[in-house]
Amino acid sequence: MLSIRDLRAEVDGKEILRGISLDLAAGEVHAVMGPNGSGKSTLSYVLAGRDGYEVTGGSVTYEGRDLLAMEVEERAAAGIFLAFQYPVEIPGVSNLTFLKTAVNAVKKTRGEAELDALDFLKLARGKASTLEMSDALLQRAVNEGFSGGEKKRNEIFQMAMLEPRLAILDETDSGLDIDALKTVADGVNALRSPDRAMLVITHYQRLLDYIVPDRVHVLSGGRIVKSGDAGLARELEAQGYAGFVGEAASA
Amino acid sequence: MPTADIERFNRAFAAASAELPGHGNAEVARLREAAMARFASTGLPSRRDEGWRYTDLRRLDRLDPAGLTGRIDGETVAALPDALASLDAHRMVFVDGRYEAALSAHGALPAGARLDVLSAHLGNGCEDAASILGTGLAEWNGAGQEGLAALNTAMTRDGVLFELPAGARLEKPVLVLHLLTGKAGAVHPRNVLRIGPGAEADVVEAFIGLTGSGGWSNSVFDGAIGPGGALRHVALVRQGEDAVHTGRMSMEVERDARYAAQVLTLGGRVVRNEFVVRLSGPGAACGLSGGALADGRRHVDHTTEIAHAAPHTESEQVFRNVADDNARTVFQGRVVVERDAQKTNARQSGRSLLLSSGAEAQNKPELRIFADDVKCSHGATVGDLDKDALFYLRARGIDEAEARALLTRAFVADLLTLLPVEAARTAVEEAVDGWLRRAVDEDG
Repeated sequence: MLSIRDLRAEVDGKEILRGISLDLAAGEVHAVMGPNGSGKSTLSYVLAGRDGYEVTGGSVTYEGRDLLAMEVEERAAAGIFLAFQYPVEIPGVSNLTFLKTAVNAVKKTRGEAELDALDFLKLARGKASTLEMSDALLQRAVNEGFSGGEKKRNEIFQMAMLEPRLAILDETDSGLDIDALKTVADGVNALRSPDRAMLVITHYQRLLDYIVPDRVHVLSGGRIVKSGDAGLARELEAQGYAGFVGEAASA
Repeated sequence: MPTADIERFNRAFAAASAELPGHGNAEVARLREAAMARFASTGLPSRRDEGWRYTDLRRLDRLDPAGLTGRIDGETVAALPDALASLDAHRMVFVDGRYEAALSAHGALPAGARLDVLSAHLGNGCEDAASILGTGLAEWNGAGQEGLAALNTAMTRDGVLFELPAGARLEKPVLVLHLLTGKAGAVHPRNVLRIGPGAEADVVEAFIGLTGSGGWSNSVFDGAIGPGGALRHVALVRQGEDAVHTGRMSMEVERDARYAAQVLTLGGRVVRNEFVVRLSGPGAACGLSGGALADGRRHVDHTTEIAHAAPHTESEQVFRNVADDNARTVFQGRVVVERDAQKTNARQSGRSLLLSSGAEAQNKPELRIFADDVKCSHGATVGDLDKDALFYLRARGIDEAEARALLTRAFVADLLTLLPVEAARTAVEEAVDGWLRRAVDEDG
């Protein structure tokens, strides 16, 4: 589904990604772990197409298409979803209006029939209730005045509504207490399916107790320095990143 | 202003004075001549005048100051925005400054109330000419004399006289519709309001220029709200692409009375809307809000002056301007707190949004405080659309044009929350959404 080859990218003239290669197949969940500054968020923004992240080399192929040539909204319509580390507050736009516009924009691009107001509301309420999101939260302006946990649940709620093919979760666990973490992880696990792939980006192993990955990649200095199965995450937790970074340096 | 230009206006006045409403009434003729003399002493405002630094009326130099004449036909009616045409209201319609009974729907009013054609009160034997053409507040300007309202007094043809007796309430809003169909010339609509003690009314004014119309509309909306009364007022300005619009809304607000008003400008080449409000009795309050949605090469100026002339008075101002393409918006908000106006509370917020690199915005808040026990605040910002918010919306599949429209609408959402006349909501939202769609389509 996703094939990243020797991807290099810079921000403000500084090279952050220094040749990343990764293959993700439908049905798989891969975790990308790494210390602060290793390039985790840069990788997620490059895949989503954010301005200011300049790709200087390599390629990204998504379902046979050149992902890097696609506009931000085209990528979303093609089924890519980024759950933001820091969801943006948008005063004056209600959560429901925002989501209805998004769901119908994506449906339109895919040539599917748009949802009318009633069908949309039914669908939204159903998905919101499994994430323990109140009606009030749906009516409020997007993320405005939401707690950290509410913002993250809102991301997973959007993901459930948009039903992406490839979900990229950027530090979705940061700032969550254990109960909120379980709710979010349950929401993510409910979306695991044979035709959906997920890239879970995290600093801590904790999240991976709840969302068990098929593969774990350790990112350091803009490169993947080690890949393994779910056991690698526990190894990392026990040893800390220092050992791996050292290993990379000597490699 | 060059003498030749004053002469141009003098000639137009001389040519029209024999047929302007009330020409046979000596008192009216005297008031009009005096007003023309006041106009001649100042001429049109120029950028050298304080208060006009950001707005240039030189387009009027090429304008024939004679009356605007267009043609009323089926198209005129069809061109009305649906939500305005279907608004359940006491409707008074003027086309190129003249009353059109066929398009109006007066409806029944409470006992003692009057909603009349202004010109009917200027003829021979009518005695209230002085109060209709009197220009206490309409010509008042803290920045010095200026001639636009005086020119309106001299040249006005018509408008409405709306009076509500003590304690009266209207079920439906009054809708005063000024349609412009002509391409050249000038109109000077004048609406005069007297809201009695404890009376309450909603008034919607709309200035709509039909496609291709131009010319100049120079309007006055002048009134007073008696003790404990309330007036809620919406002015929608959507003039034609080449039109100049200058409008002055002046209101005297007496003890414990309230004036809530919103002006929205969505069309016109050069537009200047002014609010002049005097809170003259203790407990008087006003809430002014306004928005300009400007694209192309339009210039929109919203200027306010609120005088707190009595203790315990309160004012709030919320202005949101959006400039796209090479448009330019101006918000100037002046609050004057007079020496005796202790315990005054005045708040002001002016924000401008620039949608393109060629657009410009000016925000100029001004406080003049002569009392010592007051609370006054103001905030002003000029900015672009939030890039993080744009990316967030696009990352959810919303294309850039739609994301920009959504965020722009959010920027003016405060105005829709503050809309004083609930009955006008559909018309206002239709107008705002129509502008956004057009702006987005042109960019897309």
